[in-house]
Amino acid sequence: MSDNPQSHQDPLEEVISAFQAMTVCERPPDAEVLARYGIRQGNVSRRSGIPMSSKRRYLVYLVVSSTAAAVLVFGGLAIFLRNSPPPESTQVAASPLESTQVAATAPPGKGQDVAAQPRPKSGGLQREGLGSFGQHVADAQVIVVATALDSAPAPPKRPGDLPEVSIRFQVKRVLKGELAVKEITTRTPTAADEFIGKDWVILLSPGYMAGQYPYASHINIKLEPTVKSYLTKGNK
Amino acid sequence: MTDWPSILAEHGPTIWRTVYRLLDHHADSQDCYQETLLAAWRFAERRQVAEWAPFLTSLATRRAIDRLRQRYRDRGRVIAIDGAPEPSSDAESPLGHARARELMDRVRVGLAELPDKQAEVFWLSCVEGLSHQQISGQVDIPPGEVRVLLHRARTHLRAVLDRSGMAKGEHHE
Repeated sequence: MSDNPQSHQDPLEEVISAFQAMTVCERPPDAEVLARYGIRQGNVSRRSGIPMSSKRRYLVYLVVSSTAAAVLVFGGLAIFLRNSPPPESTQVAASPLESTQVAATAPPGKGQDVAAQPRPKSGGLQREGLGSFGQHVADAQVIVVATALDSAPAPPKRPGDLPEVSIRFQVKRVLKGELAVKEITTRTPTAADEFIGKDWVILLSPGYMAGQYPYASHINIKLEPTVKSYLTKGNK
Repeated sequence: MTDWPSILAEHGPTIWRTVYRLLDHHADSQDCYQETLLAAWRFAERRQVAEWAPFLTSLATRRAIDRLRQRYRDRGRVIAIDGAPEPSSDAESPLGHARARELMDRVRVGLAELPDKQAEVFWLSCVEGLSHQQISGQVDIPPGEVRVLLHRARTHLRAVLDRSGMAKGEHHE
């Protein structure tokens, strides 16, 4: 294959001859190749099963996937335990009469605190901390019993906020504090249908009374005696 | 049971030569050599290999042609001059050697352009010297089709060489 007589033959044959005559480098040593697949030279007893590298890969895969699964399970468990309510609040959650109503009508953030507290009947009438039901009653500047008259969509405080409603209430009686007006309006994220036409015990905070905070805690009317008992105990 | 050390000792040089001739690149050839052996290992797990020589040569050819295709798809790749082998014969002039290399590269490009079976049949028949019967068994086509594919491959590769302008001895002298 050169610039001599060979140039005049079939060029393809010329190339084929060149390929056949081509010098090649040293190939990798057999021992190295066999070692890569976990076979020792002279050891012919090994079956032609999965090469060691594949087995190793499989083991690594198994270990990695098991570890990942374990991390997920324990992580999930840790998050669950961290976020789960204390034992006494389980009782509250089981009581649709009280906690559900409070949670449904209270503003975001505040309602959760209320819902997570124990029922007043279940012992421990006055618990420490701002979140207790008794504390809410104590903290309220004005507590009234009022009937929900109607509602109107409340303008969002900032774009992207979830829709909320303003509920107008007719005050029937005042349980605590003083209230000059006969109608009040509170803001809530709960659907208005749940309020309209029903009586509610409404806890009005100092912030609400000062016009700084439009939310109030709306409590089912069936809990009026409980609220009154707190008020009585608070006065003593 | 498969005696891999013996198989490698007997057929390793053939596999290596096949992949190196096709790829003409040391690192690529090493990778392809490993791939071929791994594929053979896996195949032998499931089925009995009747004739190792044509089987391994065919496997190596297939893998190397796949790599060639990959290489020419990625045109930016440059084969290091340092990696080029020395002239195959002392009698060969540097110019002749350069021309041969150029022609071989043209044919490699042509092989990468060919359909899988055509490229494989051409290489196994013309360069590796397998019989049509052996190729038929390895590529899983009737012997008559081997001849047809071979003819088509040759026609295409001749056209490639003609296009290159080197086929008629148009040396850069």
